Amino acid sequence: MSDKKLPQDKDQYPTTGEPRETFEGHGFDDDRLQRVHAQLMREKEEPSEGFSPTPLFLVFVIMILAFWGGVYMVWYSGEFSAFHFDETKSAVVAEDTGPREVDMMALGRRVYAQNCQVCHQASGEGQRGVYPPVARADWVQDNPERLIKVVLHGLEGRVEVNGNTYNNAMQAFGRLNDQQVAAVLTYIRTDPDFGNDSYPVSPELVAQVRSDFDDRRNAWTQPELEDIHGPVTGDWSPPEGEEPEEEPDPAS
Amino acid sequence: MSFPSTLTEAMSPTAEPKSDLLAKLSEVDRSMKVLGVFFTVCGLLWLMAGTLFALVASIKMHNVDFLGDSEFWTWGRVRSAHLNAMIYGWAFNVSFAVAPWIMARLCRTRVRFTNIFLFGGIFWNIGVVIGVYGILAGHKVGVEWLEFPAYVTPILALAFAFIGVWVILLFRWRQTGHVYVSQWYFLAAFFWLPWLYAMAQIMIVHEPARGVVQSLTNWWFAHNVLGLWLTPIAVGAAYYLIPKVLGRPIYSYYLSVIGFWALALFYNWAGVHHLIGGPVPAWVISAGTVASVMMVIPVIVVAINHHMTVVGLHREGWASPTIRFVVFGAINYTAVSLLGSAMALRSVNEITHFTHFTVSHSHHGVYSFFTMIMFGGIYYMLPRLLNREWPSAMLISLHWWTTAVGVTLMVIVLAIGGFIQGLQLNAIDPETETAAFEFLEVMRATIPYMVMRSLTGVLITIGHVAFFINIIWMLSRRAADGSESKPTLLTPGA
Amino acid sequence: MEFGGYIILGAVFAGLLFLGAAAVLWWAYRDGQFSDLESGSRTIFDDEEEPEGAQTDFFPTKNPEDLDGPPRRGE
Ligand code: HEC
Repeated sequence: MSDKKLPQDKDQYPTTGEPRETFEGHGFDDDRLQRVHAQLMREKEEPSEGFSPTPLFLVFVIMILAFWGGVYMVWYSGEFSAFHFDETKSAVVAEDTGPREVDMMALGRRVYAQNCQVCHQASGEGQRGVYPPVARADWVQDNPERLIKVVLHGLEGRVEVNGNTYNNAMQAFGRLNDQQVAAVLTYIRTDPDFGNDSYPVSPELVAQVRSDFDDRRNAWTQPELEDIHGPVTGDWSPPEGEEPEEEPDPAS
Repeated sequence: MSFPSTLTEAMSPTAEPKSDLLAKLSEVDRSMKVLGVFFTVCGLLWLMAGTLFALVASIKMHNVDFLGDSEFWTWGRVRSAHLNAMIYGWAFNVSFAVAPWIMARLCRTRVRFTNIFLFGGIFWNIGVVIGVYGILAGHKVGVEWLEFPAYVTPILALAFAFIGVWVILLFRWRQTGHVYVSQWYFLAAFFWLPWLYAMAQIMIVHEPARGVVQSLTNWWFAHNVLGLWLTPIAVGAAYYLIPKVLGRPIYSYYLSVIGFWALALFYNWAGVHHLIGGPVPAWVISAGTVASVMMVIPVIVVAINHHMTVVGLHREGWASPTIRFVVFGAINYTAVSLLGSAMALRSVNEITHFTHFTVSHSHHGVYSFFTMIMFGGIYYMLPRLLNREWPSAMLISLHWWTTAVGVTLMVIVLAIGGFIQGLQLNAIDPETETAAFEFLEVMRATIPYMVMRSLTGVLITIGHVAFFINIIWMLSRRAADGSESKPTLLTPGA
Repeated sequence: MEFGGYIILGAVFAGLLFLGAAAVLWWAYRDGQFSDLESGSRTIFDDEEEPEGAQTDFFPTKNPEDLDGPPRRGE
């Protein structure tokens, strides 16, 4: 309510130079003066309205944040490279040591947990009358090509596993890649927890079956598979001369 | 009183006859009457529609079959319809009501040529109707926050131009020397939003950028709608309403300058934290994280100003519906922002990302903070525009209690459920070194939280219905006459 | 658009925005916006209609001084 509050001259309209009619100046009678004065007095009394300097703690917060921000940027800059996504690793590429050996059992265990466990259970025992077992199962220890077909395209209709009959449907897992299919089958065929002791399956075999039955869309049935591979016996060994190198030797 | 007859004349500051230069607050209010009521009612209708979509989407989270046989009501559509109805319908409309009104009051000038403003508003709402319908009909764009089909965006852009220009014109017509902090916030918001929207539309929908640039743009936009549009509108409104209602100036006004500029400096960077873990250059994410944490500065400033202004006047504040809502919103602004800064840290984000925790956070922001402040704004604005009293104190109370309790419970329930969900998703079984929980298992574990969320949603819906009834009742009443108690507004004889 | 195109376009817009903000700050400073903040914070009040020191919002019918004008603190 004092002069200093008036806007500067250059802001005044109209441009004639006359001061703009301001709110404060309008009809400033005695009565009004009293009120304004009273108000000013009131304002003085309220200490909470004081304009203290920036609180010290705020200055500290700002300083600490700025420091932290700088450190963070330096640590996690990824060397400001446009093609570096992992902030915890150096952007300098490590020496290429060629493709890494894949642990088929570990991969298989993961594929199984993510895809098969829902139905066949962690124990591999399946569920009586609904999902056949993979543990100690004659199918699983039989011809791997049969299993590859089951996994790639699914299986439906009446199925006999370990002498029990199931009549359900298993979906196709064609979206798994060759290595994943080989790994999961190797895993269920050889893992001691499942009580199976058969031969591993190679990704090449999966690739071959996949391309041989490229245009197959519907699931297999047991009779169809038997037409190709003969009945399930649970006792299969690779044909002469084609035995995989790392074959576990049952004799020793 | 003579008004300048053409728009161009009005825009020239020397054209006005002197007696028109400075308007009384009640005159300002009167000039905003049609606009304020129009946008409030549109916003209100969208709020109700959005609430309905929200309930349906929420129920579907635990009862999947609910309305499952109707294509229109599939979850993917209802959820987006909810988001867009709430943001572009409710939040924008209510911003168009409250922000220009406060702006006009602070500029001490009447809103002129309101028909053009209104025209923009009508088109905006037509655009939103078509957009929401388009989403339900299956034409949506698959980008979060930009789901409106491409054919409505030009309508919206045009409508916003008409509205936004008015706010800038209002500022041009101002009759005051000092630019109050709320004006800074509003001006900036009305300048930032069209910029954001145009950029996002061009780079995502019309001339899509390729690769990660697209998702960067998406989250830059989505986060900035919150940070550079909703936040300044609500913070600006609170900066006006709190001191105004309590009759006590802002506690530490000069700090607000720091707060405003710190927001302007940091917020724009922060959106990238939505892409933590994505194939985005590491430094971009780091910059986003640092900026998100730096947001602590403006947040503390705003917190000091908002909370310290109220300190000591709690009893008085409790007697005012506006203050109840606004202070609730202000407290939640502090909470949600600090939480948000924490969530931008990589280690926290790894847990909370892709879980209901994020959903909790966004409701914390858009509802507990923004919407509650806007409710407060409407409770202050409407009696002044219409010159009548709110018809029912009971309904206001009901509205406050149900929404405050409802949204707080919802935020807590979702945060707890989401955090557990995140921990489970990340858990590794030490024996097999594979995921410890199946996805389905994790999802089932969230169901109880989803049920509770629906229940809190029902509570909030009750509040919205109370609000709806109160507004409609108020509009259908005649202006206050002497027999009634004087409304909240203080215009003796007006 | 190519990667380089984005960088250039982004830089141009970022520069414009930054300059814009700087210009606004400069204007505000020159205009004296920051020189008397104390009275600036009081510009929201209005001696006639909504004066400082008076609460201006109540639950309907709950205004304690309904008939004799706005209540003022400290009087
Ligand atoms: C949706 C549940 C389901 C999933 C998931 C599933 N299966 Fe099956 N599986 C079945 C059913 C059901 C049968 C029996 C089909 C029938 O009755 O015709 C079956 C049969 C089999 C068989 C032959 C019978 C036996 O038990 O030896 C094998 C081998 C097999 N599944 C392996 C797998 C592998 C490997 C996976 C994971 C890649 C898998 N299954 C995933 C349901 C499933």
